[in-house]
Amino acid sequence: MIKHFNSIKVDMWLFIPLILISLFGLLILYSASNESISIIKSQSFKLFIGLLIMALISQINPNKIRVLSFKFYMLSVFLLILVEFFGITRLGATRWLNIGVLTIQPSELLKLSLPMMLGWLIYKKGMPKQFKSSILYSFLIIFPVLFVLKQPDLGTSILIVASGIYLLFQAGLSYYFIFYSLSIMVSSSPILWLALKDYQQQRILSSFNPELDPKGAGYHVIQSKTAISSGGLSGKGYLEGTQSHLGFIPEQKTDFIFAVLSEEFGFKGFLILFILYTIILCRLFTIIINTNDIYQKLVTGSIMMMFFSYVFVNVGMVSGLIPVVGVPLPLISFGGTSILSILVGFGIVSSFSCYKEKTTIKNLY
Amino acid sequence: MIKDNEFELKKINKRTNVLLYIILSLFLFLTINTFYLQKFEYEYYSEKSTNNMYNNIEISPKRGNIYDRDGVVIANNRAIYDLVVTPEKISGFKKNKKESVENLFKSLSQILDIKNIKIEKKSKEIIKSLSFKDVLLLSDLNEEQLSVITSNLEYIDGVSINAKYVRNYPFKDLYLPLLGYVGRVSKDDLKEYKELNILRNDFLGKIGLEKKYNDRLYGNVGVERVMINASGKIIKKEKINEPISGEDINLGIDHDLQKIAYEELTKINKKGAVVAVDLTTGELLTFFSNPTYDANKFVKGITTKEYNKYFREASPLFNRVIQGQYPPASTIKPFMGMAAIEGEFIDPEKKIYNGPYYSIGKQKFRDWKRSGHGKLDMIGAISRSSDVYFYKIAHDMGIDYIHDFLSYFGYGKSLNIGLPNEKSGLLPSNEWKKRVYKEPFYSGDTVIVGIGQGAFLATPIQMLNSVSMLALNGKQIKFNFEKTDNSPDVINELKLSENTYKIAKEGMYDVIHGKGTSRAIGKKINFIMAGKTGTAQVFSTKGEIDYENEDMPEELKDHGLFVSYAPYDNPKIAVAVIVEHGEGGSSAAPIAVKIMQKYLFKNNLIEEEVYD
Repeated sequence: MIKHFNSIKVDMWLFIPLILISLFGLLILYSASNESISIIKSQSFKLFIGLLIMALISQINPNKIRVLSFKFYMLSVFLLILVEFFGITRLGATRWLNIGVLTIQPSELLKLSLPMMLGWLIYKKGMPKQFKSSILYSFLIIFPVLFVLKQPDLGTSILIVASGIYLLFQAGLSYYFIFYSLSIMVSSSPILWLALKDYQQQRILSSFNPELDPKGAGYHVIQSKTAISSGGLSGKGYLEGTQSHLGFIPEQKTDFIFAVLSEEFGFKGFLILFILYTIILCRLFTIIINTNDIYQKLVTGSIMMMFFSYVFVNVGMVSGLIPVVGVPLPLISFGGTSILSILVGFGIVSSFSCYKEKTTIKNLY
Repeated sequence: MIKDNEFELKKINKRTNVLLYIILSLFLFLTINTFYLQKFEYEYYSEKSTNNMYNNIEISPKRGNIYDRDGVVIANNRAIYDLVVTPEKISGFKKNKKESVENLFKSLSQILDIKNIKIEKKSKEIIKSLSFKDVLLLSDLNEEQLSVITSNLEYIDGVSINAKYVRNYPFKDLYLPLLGYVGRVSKDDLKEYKELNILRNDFLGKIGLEKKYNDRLYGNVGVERVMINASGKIIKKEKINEPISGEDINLGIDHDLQKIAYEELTKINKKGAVVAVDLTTGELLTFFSNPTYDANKFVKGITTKEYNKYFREASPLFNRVIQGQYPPASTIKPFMGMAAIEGEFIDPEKKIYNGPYYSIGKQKFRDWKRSGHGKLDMIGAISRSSDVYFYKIAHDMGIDYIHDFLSYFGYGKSLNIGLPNEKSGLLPSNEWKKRVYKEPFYSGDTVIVGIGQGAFLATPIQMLNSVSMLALNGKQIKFNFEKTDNSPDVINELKLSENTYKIAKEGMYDVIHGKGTSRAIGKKINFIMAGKTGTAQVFSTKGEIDYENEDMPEELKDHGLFVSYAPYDNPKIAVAVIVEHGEGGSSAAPIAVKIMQKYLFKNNLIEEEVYD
C-alpha cells in the first residue's frame, strides 16, 4: 500500500473555523477585558503559536504519533509525580512545574496523553475481554488521576477520567458495564452528598436554583443569566454590555466570557459561535467515519468529546443549568493552557485527516 | 483477523454515531435554553440588568423659611460645610494605606488645628471604609477653617468639602415656644407623614409650628439617577427630578413685640407667659413662654448630660401659653361682674359697702385690702379690685350659674388654636365637684371662685380670649398664626346687653386711668387702654390668714397676672401676661403696656413711645 499525504497538509474544515472562532474570541475578549490592548496582545500571541503548532503537528505522520503515545503517557505521569516533590503552589494548589523559562501543568498533558495511550493499547490488543485486563486498563486511568486529585484539582481529575471513559465507550465498553457502574454511582450518591462540605452542597443546590442564595453562591449565576438574557435576540451592541462593563459578571475574561458574548451580541452571537462549533464537531465526526484506523478513530473521538464537553459545561454553567465549575470556553476564554492543549489535539486530528491511505479496502461503514 | 477488525470498526462507528446524537441533542438543548432566556425571559432580566446599574439617590428638599409679619427671618436653613476625605484619592493610598493616611494627617495639621479629630480612630475608619466612600473628618467648619481649606485643596489629595443644609434659628431661644424645633426623622414620623414621602435621614418639625406646618414646609424630595458599578461606585450622573423647596410661611407674629416679652421676663428672671392678638385680624402677635432654650441645640441633638442639666427643673418645652394653668384671680372680676348684671343679681350702679371681710356663717373671707374699700359701685369694685364685692355677688349667683356664664367666655375648654397638648383649664361646677370630690360645691368654695381663686384654673390663651371678647363686645374671633389682612373668622357672638359690656369696660378703664390699682401706669402712657391686674395665690390661705408676699419663699410667692386691650375706644390689640412668682399684678402690667405701646407706635396710632 502506498501511503502518501494529500497536497493540503492541514485540514481546512477544522483550521478555518478554528481561526474564525479565534478571531471572534479576540473581539469578545477585547470587550470583556475592558478594552485592554495588552490582554489582546497576549491572547493573540497564544492563539498564533497554538495554530502554528497545530499546523506543524499536522505534518507529522499519524503512525509516528501512535507509536509515541505510550511514551507520551509515561512522560506525563513522570512529570506529574515530579510535581509532588518539586511542584509550585499557587492559591493552595500544587499543580505546576518550572522548566527553564516555562511553567507547565502536567495534569493538562494527561488529558491528551491518556486517551492516546488507551487508543494505542486498544489498537494493539483490542477491548479488554478478561477481568484481569479490565483491571489493568482501570489502573492506567486511576493511577495518575490520584496524583491530580491530591494537588488538589477535582475539575481536571474529572476531565481526565471522562476522557478515558469516552474512549472506552466509543471502543465498545459493554452497556451492561455502564449500567452497572451508573447504578452504583446513583445508589451511593446520598452518601456522597453527605460527604460534601456545606459550601459544596450549597453550590450544587444554588446552581439549580440560584435565587436560593442570591448574595452568595447564586450571585455569579444570577448575574451571568442577567447578562445573557438582557442581551435579547440581537444583543446590546459591541462594547455596550452593562453587566460586563460595570463589573457585575465575575471572571468575565475567563470562565464567564460567554455571558459577555451573549450580552453584547445576543442570540445572533450565540448562533454564530455554535454554528462554528458544530461545523468543527461534524468535521471531527466525519474524520472518524472516514478512517479505518482504530487508533485514529478512538483518539479523534476522544478529542471530539472533550471539545464538546468544554463547550457544553462552560455554556451550561454560565446559563445556570449546571453547577459552577472552572471550565474555559475553548479558544475564547483568556488563557494559554486551554488554547494550547486544544490546538495540539486538533493538530493530531488534522494529521489523521490529511493522511489518506491509498487502499483498496472498501468503505466498511 | 479482518473479520475481527471489521466487527470492531463497525462497533466503533455505531458508538460514534451515538456520541454524535448525544452531542447534537445537547447542543440543541443549549440552543433552546439560550433562546428561551433571550426571548421569553428578556423583560425580567432586562429589568434586573437596569436595576443593577442604576441607583436612584434621593435629594433632600430645602425646608421653607418662616418669617415674622415684617419679613424678619425667624427660621431658615444654613449651609454647613463638612471636611471629608475619599480614601482612594489619598496619594499613595493603594500602595501603603497606613502610611498615606499618616501623611495626610501630617499635611492637614500644617494648615489646620486638628486637635478635635481623633486621628487614630479616623485613620482606622478610612482604611476600613469602601475606597470610594467619603469619610467625615470635621463637621461644620467655621469661616476661617473653610477659607484655609479651600485655598489648600489642590495640595492635599483626597480631601474635599461637602455642603449641606441644616435648620437655623437666628434668634435662638426667642421663638422656641412658638416654632418648636426640627429634629431627625423617627420611625413614627415615617408612618405619620407617609404621603409627604420624607427621607429617612432628614429633619422634621417635632413640636410647635414647625410640626404643625410640616406638610407645607417640607417640600418635595428630588431624585437623582446615577449609574453605578458592581461595587456601588457612581460612574455617571443623570438627574431626573430636582427637589422642590418647601413653602415659606409668613406668620403674623411681631418680632418687635416678641422681643419685648423676652427681654422683660428674662430681665426679672421670672417664668411666665406673654400672649397678644391683633383684634382686627386675629393674628397672634406675641407668643412667648419662659423659660426657653436655644432651638438650634435641639436640631443637632443634645446630649443626655445637657438635657439633665437644663431640663431637670423647668422644661422649656413646657409651653406656658397653652399649657400653663393658673387661677385667673382678679382678672375674672370684670366677667364676674357681667355675669351678675346679666343675671340681674345686682344693680351695677348701686354703691355697696365693702368691709374688710365677708361672712358666711362663722367663716370670714378677707379682702386683700385689710381695711376694706368702703362704698363702691361695680365700676369702682372692678377698678379697685374689691374682693368683698365679688364674694358677695358670687355667693348670690351660685357656682352653676357662674359656670354656665363664664363658659361662654371660653373658660373651662380648650380653644384648639392648632398646637398640640393645649390644656383646657378648670371651670368648676357642682357636677364637677360631685364627680371628683363626691360632695357638692359649698358656698365657701363659690365665693373664692368669685375672685378667681380656688379650683378655678385658666391658661393664658384663655385669658387672652376672654379679654378679646370683652373688647369686641362679645365677638369671639379665631386666633391664627399666619399673616393676614383679612378680618378674622368669628367663632361665636355673645350678645349681652350693651350696658353690661359698658360697665365692665369702664371698670377696666378706671383701673388705669382712674383711681384703680394700676393708676400709676395711666400717668405714664400716652394712649388710652383698659386693663385688669390679678394676683394668683400659690399658697392657699382660703382668705383666712394674712401674709406678706415678700416674706414668702420664692416658690410660694404669688403669680402676677394682667389682661388688657388698647386703644380703649377702638380696640386693636389685646394682651395677657403671667409672671410666675412675680408677687402681684404689678409685675405683669408693665410688660403688657410696653407691648401695646410698641404696637400702637408701629401702627402710627401714637407718635412716640414714652413708657419705660
